[in-house]
Amino acid sequence: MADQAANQAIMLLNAARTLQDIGQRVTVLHQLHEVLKREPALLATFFPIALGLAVDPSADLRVGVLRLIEDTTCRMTVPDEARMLVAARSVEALTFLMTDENPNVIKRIVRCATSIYPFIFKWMCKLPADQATWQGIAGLKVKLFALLGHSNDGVKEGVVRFLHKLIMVQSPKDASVVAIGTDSVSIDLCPPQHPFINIQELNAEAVGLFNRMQSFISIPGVSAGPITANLNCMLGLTRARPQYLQPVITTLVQWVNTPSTTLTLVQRRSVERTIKIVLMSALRSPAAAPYANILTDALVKLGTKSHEIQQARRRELKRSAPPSTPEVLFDPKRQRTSGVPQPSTQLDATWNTTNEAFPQDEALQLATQMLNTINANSLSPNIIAELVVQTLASCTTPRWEQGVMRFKQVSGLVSQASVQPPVAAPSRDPRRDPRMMDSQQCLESTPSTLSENENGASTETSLAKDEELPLKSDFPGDSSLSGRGEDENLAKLRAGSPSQMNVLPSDQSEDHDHLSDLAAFESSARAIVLDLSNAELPELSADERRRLANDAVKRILSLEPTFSSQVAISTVSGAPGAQSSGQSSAGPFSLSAAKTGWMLVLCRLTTALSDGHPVANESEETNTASGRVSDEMKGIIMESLLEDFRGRLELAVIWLHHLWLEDEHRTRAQNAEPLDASSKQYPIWFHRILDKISTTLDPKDKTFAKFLIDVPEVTEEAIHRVVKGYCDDHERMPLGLFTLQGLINHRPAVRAECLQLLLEYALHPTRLTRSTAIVMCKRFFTDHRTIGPKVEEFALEAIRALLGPPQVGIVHTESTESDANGVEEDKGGEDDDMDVKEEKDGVQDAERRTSNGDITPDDWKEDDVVRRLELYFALCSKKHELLLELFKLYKDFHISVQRAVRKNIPPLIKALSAQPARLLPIINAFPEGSDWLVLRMVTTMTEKHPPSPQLVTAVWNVFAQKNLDARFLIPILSGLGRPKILLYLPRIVQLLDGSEKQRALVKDAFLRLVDSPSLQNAAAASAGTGAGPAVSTNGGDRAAQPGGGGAGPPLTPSELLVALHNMEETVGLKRAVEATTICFTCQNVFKGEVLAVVLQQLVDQSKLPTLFMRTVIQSVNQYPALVNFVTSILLKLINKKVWSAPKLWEGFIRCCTIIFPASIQVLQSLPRPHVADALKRSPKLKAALQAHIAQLEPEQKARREIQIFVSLVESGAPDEMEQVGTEHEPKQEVVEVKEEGNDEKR
Amino acid sequence: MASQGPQGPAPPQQQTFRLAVICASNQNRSMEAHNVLQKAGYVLSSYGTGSAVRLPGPAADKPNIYPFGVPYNDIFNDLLKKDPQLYKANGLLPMLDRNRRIKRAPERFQEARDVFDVIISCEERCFDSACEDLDNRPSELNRPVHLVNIEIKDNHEEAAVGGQLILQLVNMIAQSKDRDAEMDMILDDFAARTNAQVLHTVSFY
Repeated sequence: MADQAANQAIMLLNAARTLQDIGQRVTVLHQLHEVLKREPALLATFFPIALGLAVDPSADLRVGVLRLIEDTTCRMTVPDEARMLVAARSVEALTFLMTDENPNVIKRIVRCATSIYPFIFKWMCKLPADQATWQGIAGLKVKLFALLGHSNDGVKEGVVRFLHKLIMVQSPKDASVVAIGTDSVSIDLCPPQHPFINIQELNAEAVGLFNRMQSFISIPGVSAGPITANLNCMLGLTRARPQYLQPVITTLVQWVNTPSTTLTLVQRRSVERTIKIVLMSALRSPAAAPYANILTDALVKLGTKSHEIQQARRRELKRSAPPSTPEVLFDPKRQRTSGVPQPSTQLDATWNTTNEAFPQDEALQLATQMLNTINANSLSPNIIAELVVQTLASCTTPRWEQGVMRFKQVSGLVSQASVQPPVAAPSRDPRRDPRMMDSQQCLESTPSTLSENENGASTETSLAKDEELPLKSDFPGDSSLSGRGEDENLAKLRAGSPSQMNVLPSDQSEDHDHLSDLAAFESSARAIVLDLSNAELPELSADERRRLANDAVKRILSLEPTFSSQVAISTVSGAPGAQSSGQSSAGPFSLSAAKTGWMLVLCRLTTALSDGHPVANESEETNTASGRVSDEMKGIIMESLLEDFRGRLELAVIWLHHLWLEDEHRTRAQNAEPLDASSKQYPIWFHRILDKISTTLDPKDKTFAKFLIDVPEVTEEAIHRVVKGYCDDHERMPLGLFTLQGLINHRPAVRAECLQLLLEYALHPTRLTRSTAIVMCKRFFTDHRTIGPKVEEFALEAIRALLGPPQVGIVHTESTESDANGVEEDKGGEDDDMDVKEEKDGVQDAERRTSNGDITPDDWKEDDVVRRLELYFALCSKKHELLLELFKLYKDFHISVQRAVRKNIPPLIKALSAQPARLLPIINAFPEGSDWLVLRMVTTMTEKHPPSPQLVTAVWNVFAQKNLDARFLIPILSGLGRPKILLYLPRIVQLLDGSEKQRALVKDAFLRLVDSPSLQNAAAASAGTGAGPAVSTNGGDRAAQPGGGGAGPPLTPSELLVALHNMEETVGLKRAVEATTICFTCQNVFKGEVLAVVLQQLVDQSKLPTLFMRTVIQSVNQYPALVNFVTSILLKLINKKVWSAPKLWEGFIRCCTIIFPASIQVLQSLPRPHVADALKRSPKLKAALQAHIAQLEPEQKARREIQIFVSLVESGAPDEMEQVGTEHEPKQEVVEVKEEGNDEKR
Repeated sequence: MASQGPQGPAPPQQQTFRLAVICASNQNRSMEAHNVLQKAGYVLSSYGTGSAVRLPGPAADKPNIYPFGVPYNDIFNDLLKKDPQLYKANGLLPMLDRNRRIKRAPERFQEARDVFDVIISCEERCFDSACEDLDNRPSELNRPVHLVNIEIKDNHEEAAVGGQLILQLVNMIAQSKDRDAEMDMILDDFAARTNAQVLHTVSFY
């Protein structure tokens, strides 16, 4: 099936290249496309060749190629890896075609790129291996940007679509948005430390592109088509990425207010209508609730009827939560909070240019009013931060917990709370607001920081902490490990705080709100603020400090559930239509930011960097003192991590990064002298965690692998002790190997070691471990450019090792197993005997076996051979050229290795023979000495399918050239054609030597000949010929074959049997007998009818073969129904004077005896002297005849013919006759026949 | 961009685009157009965008409502049973009779999963629904589709005139070498010639 498809694909490809008519070629390409669709397995081979057609002068054909690319990359049925292969290849082709002048081609390129981009991006995020492809698509992307100015509207529309897809992919996806298909591909998929994808750059690019799209709708000279395309895409964008909703609405409203004048009337109406559709659609979505009045205004301007708008609004209101009232919807504060949280400077700017924007400091003013006497504007950010800190410091623990509890209880209503007008604020608990959480945590850290720090640092704020970040990312070497993730988090934290007051990581106005809330709530706050200038911190004892710090850490840790439950609540409340759009889109986002903030706080608290001072400045004592303190805290953190390692993985990783940085800091401080191992913090804790999780985590939990991939450094100890320990533990083995794979993929620093380890496991004695490792190696081999060759080299080394003596160590470890194997192997050896016997040192081997009875020390265990072969075989299945290497080595292998190789190669050959073209080169020129391996290969290839013509030619050629053993002919026999078969049949028969083995071999050959491709045909043919005697023409069954030539087997059974009879002179009688006997054992092929044809044909020959009578007897023994037919044969023989050939005559008499009384007619036809001779030779016959005559009626006896018999029977004395009978005991063969015949009858 | 006279049927040599015509109920306007275009040699589909098939009943507030998918033949027989006189007089029965010769049953656009290059709607409401539906579908093919509206009133006379208008437009589109690039010009031209109210938007599958 696959073969057929491959052949068809080759044919079509050739036709597509060579045909003259363009139309035909396009059709042919289309057919090829269909073939590849049906057989995706062929893509790897044919797709690259089909891509070659991209240089064709015909534009239609080029479009066809592009269609193929697009279809393949868009289609879901192709496995991802194959798709990636196609996509990677396609990028080059697309880039090449960019210079094309035909707009149809360009349009198709743009479409292809739009489909491929999300896919490649996703793949690169998952498997960052193929940087070249990524660069290729990045280059293509830039070229496509330029096409936005293309003169063809169709191209423009395509590019618009492409850019929107790009924006979608390169923007973060809100967790609450359900997106499917490529819409779900977002920048969030990319790990922060991606080796070559820069998230910030991509995101910035997306924002830039979005700005372009915003301005695109009012560029003069662009007609309605591209503009409406852009508008429709914008609607999709706002759905998948709600952060763009606000700017989109702004842009559209702006267009409505100042419509473009360059469009024709029709086009303008079209654009207006499309804007109306988009705005209506937006109005219906709950996310746009804050903009309802703007939307309404714009829609009215567009001439929308008010009842339509109302209908849409009603629908929106229905979705909102019950308490929402129209007033609430237009609450200015909500407008503020629902601002686009993403890189917002530009977006905000746009927003502000429209008069609908609200003054940034409005919320601030409200807060100020609440504070009554204090003008918040007059306070510096530091003071404000301090104010909050002090307020919190005066908060008692029960009260704090109470607040947290209350917050948890009401957090389901939290969005509702935030919608309340500010007037209600004073009555609110300050801790209700989720945004408060992160600021609180940041602040919470401050007191403990203070307590740690001798200097007091009372003016220090979290601002100082933030400043510390750039310092970290400055580290030489590993910015990808440490810096980027944090920077991004920082960016997240800062997002949404437009003023320079980025002290607090949450939205500015909100903080002022809380500030006011706090002020109202805590009456003491103001007093503390006033005390601030001369506040002195009480001196704390070391113990107190430690206790305080530990408590703080524990408290912070205990906050974790708040984040997770919060996530759950916000998504739940978001589902039934979320009362406040701004909240639902900003909620999870700020929440994840808050969680990040929480983790950072924890990490900094518990590492030496936490005080924000370079460690080098500290004296030795403080260093150790704080070291001790933090050791304790680290312990707390670690325990907490281990409680729920899965859930706290992120925290674990960030924390370890901090530890690692701390070590780096110290190294630096000591003038780049490496720290001695004991003083390094990172390895200690890293190993502790590893040890713990290997007992606590589920053996299948992939968190382990992820953890190792994400930590800043994987130590040698981790690999050789922990990971290796996993691999050796049979329960954790899959995870261990999976981890190795991940490390090889993602951590170039330890790649070599891990790869070596993985490769060693690919030769592991345990089968399951080995095969798991092999699967991974195979994947590297095919997917990875640099690792692939190493795997190959290793596999080749492994089989070369088979040249040497066996490894004793393994024998010991597997002594129990080897016993069982020894037996098995002997059996296997039996199977192989046909090969072994004729090998050069076959005799030697046999001697060794007989003399020793067991395996000699030089012998390899089959298992040992197999485990070295398996990896290699796995690679061969991907890269068939490699197989030649084995054939080269084969002759130098030890005999036991050779046997194991032969025994184990068939599965591989079966797999490869799907495309026999791969194996033909080996057959064509196989290395000296590998004959038997080649034979095994050819035999395997033809086991299931008839040999292909190519294979037949190849084998025939080497057979003729090298004058090989006749056994090479057996597999290809059926493909040779009649004349050659008949010519070489004797050589095959000559293989018979009386042994079972050879007999089986020859039987196999016969069956291949007569039974091979269509047993059905043969059966139908013989059925058609009817009962034996009716057939009289030569090869009647052949002629009767339905459909005639070609389809049936090369020889009919009767032809074969006739041929065997006629070769008794060339091969000797004994072999001929053996050969015909083989035929008689195959009763399902050599049926009665067939035998009848054979006998008929032979009897008509001028010279009867000696075997003839034997076959006659055997036939009638086997098929008694043939009696009448045989009688007719015997009569014919009388005409041929059968008595003149002694052996035939013997047989003749025996046959008469067997078929008596049917043979009476024959005896009557015999000349009298010969009848007498016959009766003399066979007393049995005579007795039978006598008995027969005795029971005849008198008048029957009186008949003349019978009278002759009577006289004959009575003429000789019975004793005499018996004597003669014993003297003339029939020849050996005939006796044999009789016995066999009897056997059969039994 | 040469085009034939308004009535000149120009059977396309080979139709290179997939075409659909839509109205509210897939009965009158879209089926008239389906009829006309099919006779001119085009291959096309037709759909309705409404929530159900609505046909006039004995009174304005008693319409006959059928779900999409009920065969024209069944509707025909139903109306024939209810009031053959009335429905013959108001043209419903002849219309259904024509429709059942064209295809089996009215189809709903929102449920159709076929991909088209050009979709022509007969009413702004249908245009809006179709456009919104297209924008809301998961769109993975990135294949552009031109959605064009020609305003036609929902009665038999206007439908007949509208059918000819649509045929004329489709002929113009069929003769264009690059319809993606020329669509706006074609529509400007078409609107100028026929005074038809035209809308156009480009969406993606």
